[in-house]
Amino acid sequence: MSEETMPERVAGAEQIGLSAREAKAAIQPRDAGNWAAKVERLAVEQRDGVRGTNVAGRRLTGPVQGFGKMWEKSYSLNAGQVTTPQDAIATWKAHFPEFWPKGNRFAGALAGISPGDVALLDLAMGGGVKLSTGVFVLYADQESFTLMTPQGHMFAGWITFS
Amino acid sequence: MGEPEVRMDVRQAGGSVAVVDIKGDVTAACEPVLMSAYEEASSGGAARVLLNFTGLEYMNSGGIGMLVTLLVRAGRQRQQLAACGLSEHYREIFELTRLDEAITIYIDEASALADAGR
Repeated sequence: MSEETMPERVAGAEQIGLSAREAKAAIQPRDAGNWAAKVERLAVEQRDGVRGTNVAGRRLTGPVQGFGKMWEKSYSLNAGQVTTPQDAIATWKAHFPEFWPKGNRFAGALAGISPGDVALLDLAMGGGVKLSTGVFVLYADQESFTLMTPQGHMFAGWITFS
Repeated sequence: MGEPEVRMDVRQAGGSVAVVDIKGDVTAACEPVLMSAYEEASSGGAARVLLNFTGLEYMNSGGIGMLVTLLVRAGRQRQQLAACGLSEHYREIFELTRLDEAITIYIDEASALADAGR
């Protein structure tokens, strides 16, 4: 841009006719890229190696939509001081499908784990029974990611890896 | 873990509503600040606690998880939890996570107080 075309200063929100609320909405917060966009019902294509039932068309469920006692459970492991949280989460995101116990299958998006992705799951429930379900990537940043469950999953809520 | 970059100020808004003004970043790290603010808001016998998110600058999944913890605590005390001042971005997150089904959302504080006064 040449000096001739460059504006002397940027106009304030009031000068260009934005209400305070509109001006606030126009500024993207720092977490904007970390959250999935709003969806009403899940959409997912068929993927090899999983049945892929019970996910497409289902609504997401959070802790509020569950029934019975609400639980918050945390599991932790000591990964030592060599691995940074960023490295650990990057590895987890890149290799998540490889970390499942035998008999279970996680079929995620090719690009790893990103906000808005839908993964399909076949879970071994014992006695030869398999549960087909999935998860939605609700949130992901460099130090954590959170999965949200659809209707039909055995949990109603969020699962965070951090 | 560093100091949470958030400030939560409590004020009584008349009637049975207490307002918590939230400014800064809402993450799991600010749980002590939020719970302290909630206790202060409840100490006056408020039937409804209004979370004013006008000053919200950042929220991660740990932060929204913390709101569920608060929701449970409020439910035990038979209090209503409401929110106002959410930007379009954060309102969509409340809708996506379906928290809006448990926390009533108002466009601004005046609307929330008007509804509480009915």
